Amino acid sequence: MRVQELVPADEIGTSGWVTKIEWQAAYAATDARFFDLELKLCHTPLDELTDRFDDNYGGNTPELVAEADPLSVTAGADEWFAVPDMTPYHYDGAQNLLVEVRWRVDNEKEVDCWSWASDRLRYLSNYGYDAESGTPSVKANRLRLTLEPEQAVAGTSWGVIKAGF
Amino acid sequence: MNRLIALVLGSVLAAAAAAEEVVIGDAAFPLNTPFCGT
Repeated sequence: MRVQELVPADEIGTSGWVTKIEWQAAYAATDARFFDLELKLCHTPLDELTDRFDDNYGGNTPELVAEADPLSVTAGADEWFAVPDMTPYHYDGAQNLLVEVRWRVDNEKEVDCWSWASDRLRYLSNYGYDAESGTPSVKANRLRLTLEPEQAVAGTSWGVIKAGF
Repeated sequence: MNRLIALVLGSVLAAAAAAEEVVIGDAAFPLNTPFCGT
């Protein structure tokens, strides 16, 4: 399975370090396993997805921010879950953000996630791990992004404060 | 004393720079995406 999801900059509303991306289970799920899973993030200038995965990077290079083998999802209804141990990704706050997930095989269990109908093509999927193209859709998953501040404010401020005395 | 004030100010600024959670989209309907068994 290969999936891309487009998140417009105006819906994120800030820059910073993305440290977690979560999906929200609609129903309880137990030990749904997804093997050789990768999570990638990429800036993109596109406001809508094409049907070709690589074209949606818009000339940028995606960063591999998390891997799991397997990702095992056990979640109650309405609970958020993430791919653990994500490497922080610096998001510039200006371009749109592309979230990509893919895995090779699974244990044929699934996790139904809360979703919604957007106003543009922002979801692309294909059952093939190495798929080059897929079927774009306006239906998108609900996501929760955790962003850390742009700078280490505490450290910077400490220096500024000390310099003032 | 100055060091104490600086520590307090630093802590306040650090708290103000806490992580932010941004929710994208709604919980309108369930879909078996992307984590569907293939």
